[in-house]
This record gives sequence, C-alpha cells and structure tokens, in this order.
Amino acid sequence: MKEVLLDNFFEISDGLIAPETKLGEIPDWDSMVAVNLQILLHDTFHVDLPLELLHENTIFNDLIMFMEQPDKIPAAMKEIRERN
Amino acid sequence: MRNAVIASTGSYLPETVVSNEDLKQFPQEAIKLIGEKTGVFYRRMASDKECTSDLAVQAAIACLDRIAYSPEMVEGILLATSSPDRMQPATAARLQHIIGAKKAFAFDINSVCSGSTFGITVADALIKSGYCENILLVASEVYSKIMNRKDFSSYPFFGDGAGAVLFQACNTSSDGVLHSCLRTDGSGSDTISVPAGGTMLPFVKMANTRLAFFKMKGIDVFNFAVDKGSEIILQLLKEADVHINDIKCFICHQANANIIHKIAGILDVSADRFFMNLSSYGNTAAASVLIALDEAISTGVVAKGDLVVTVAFGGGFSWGANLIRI
Repeated sequence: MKEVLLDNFFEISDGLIAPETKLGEIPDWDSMVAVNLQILLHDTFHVDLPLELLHENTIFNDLIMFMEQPDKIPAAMKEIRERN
Repeated sequence: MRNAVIASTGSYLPETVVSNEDLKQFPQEAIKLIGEKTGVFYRRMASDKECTSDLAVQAAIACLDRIAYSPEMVEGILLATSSPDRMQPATAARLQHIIGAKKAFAFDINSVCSGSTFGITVADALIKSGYCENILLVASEVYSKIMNRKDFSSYPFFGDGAGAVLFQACNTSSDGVLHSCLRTDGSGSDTISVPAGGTMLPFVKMANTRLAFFKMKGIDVFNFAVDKGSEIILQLLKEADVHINDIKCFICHQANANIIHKIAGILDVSADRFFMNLSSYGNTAAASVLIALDEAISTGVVAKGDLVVTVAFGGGFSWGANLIRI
C-alpha cells in the first residue's frame, strides 16, 4: 500500500506513511481527497471502503485491517455513526 | 482621454452537457459532494475533435458577427488560455488564421484562471498607448483534455468553454476600462500546475503519467481566492475612487460558488450582485469571466452605462481586477 500511496499522492513523503499516521496528516487532506483514496483502493486492491471510514482520524493500520478483514467494517461504521 | 470600450461580446460552449450524475468514474456516494463543495451541477465538454483554438474561433465569430464586424478590421488578437493547443506555436496564431484576421498580430496570455483580467488590462494598455485601434480578446479553455478524469479533487470542478470581447478605442474618460489591478505571487507556483511537459520536467523524464495532468491543492487555492479576490476588489475601487455601492455587478471568476459567497460576505455586499453561471458550466478557467460578461450583457443583467468589476484569481498565484463601464 505504501508504494501505491507514494505513487499517487505526490505530496506524501516516504517518512509520513507509518502504521499510526492519520489520513488527516496527508497534506491537503479533505473530503475530495478522501474520494480519490477510495477510488485508488478500489482500482488497485479491488476493495470498496465506504467514504465514512476514510475520515481524518482513520490511521493506515485501520485501512489495512478493513481491507484484510472486511467483516469488521459494519461495526466500525456503527461506531462512527454513534459518535457523530 | 483615450479608453478601450467594449464594442461587442460573444461566447461559445460546446454542445455536450455533462451532469454530475454522468461522472460514472466516481463512486455514487461521492456525487452529492460535488454540488455541495463547488456549486457545479453541469459542465460542457469539447468533442474529441475540438481543441482550444476551435472553441476560441466560435467565440470570436459570435463576438464579431454580433455587430457585423469584419475580421479583417481586427488589429490585434490576445488569447488567454492555460490549456493551449500545443506547447508552440501560440494558440492565438491558429485562431487568427481561421477567422481571417489577416492584419492582426496575435499572441497568447497564460495567467491561468486570471487570464481574462490580465487580457483586459493588456488590451486596454495597447489601445490607450495608441498602438491599436481595436483588440479582440478571447479566452478559451479545454480542461477536460488536461485533467485526470479520475481525480475527484479537480475533474468535477471544471468545464470547457470560450468567451470573447472586442475592445475599440474611444475618446472618452468615462466609458470602457477605467482602471485595472494585476498581481502575482510566484511563491504559489506549485499550488496549481501541470507538472510535466515543459522544460522543468519533460515528458521523457516523467516517472508517473499522473504528472502530465492538471493538479491543484484545493484548500490552499480556496483560501488564496477568498483572500486575494476580496482584497483586490477593494484595492481597485480605492484606487479608482469608486464606492462599492456604485457597482452594478461583479463578474467574478466562476471557480466555486462557495468562494464567491465568501468574497461577497467579506465585501458586505449581497451575493445577488455577483453574476453566477458556474452551476451550468463549471470552472472554465480563464474563459469564465468573459463567458459571464457576455451572458450578463446579452441577458440584460448589465446594460450600457453600468459599472462592473471583473475579478479573477488562479495559478501562479495570479489575480487581477478591472473596473469597466459598459
């Protein structure tokens, strides 16, 4: 995933991508960039993550977990909706 | 005193209408964000066969035909564009040839989205100096061909289109272009760009094809536009000693409805006094101000004698404004 992000998000430097890095720490992160990440994950890894999960506090480790264990997505979505 | 007055205007929008819902490359759940974030619901798209000069030709012809003005009488052509036909020659050269403006010199102005305000200022200066009796200013953009169609943070914002204004010399101090302000801050030159294809990064050295497409840092651009757009209007009016209440209409670069509303708020004027057509056409970059000016005049929103302010901001960073009595 690191390679894909470095290739597609020009402003991300190698050192910025760590397991605990929040998406909101990506330079110029906003809801439009979140859609770009969603499209990238779909096109590259064939996974469809809901936009609600791609918020500024989501960390890269969460992304990998959702991709590897999609059964955890509904619970995460429920938690976000309850928090909001 | 000699001023550049508006003799005619024209515009051209390609036939193909693309709605937000037509942008099938994006997830359906994201589509509603386009309208919310930009105010854009439709845009026009050039056909595979149309390039920037083709749109410019149609706008120029519409402008000249409106007052039955022979292209052979045109002395100079300025073409504002940031999506030229080719790296060289100037896109204006093909425009000059196709419309048959045989006596006119022609060159391009690339100030990205500020191109119209820079073009108006240069046209005015050429006429005021006595170098020309008239200038045909055209602004034309085909961003659909320089953007990554899968980039959600830029592609849905933009549309293709062209606008034109014929300026003529007139011995008056009260009509036409009364005052202009232009500004550039090159520290923002990486914020809006097409990174590859020039001498800084030739195509052969390009590591990623995405570098050949237009990109912008949305939040930085938004803040710059709101800040400098409002600032330069106030500066223009102060320098011209004109009260803001005397302005009939603000013809602002059609970048984003939220930017226009913010500028109106800072100036403490009703957003109704800002002409808006971006919901139908999207951001047509340099062309947006001239397309809006043509529509404002042709629909009677502004009429002869009205004071208007044109204002634009964009890549460079660059920004500019003009005070014009129609």
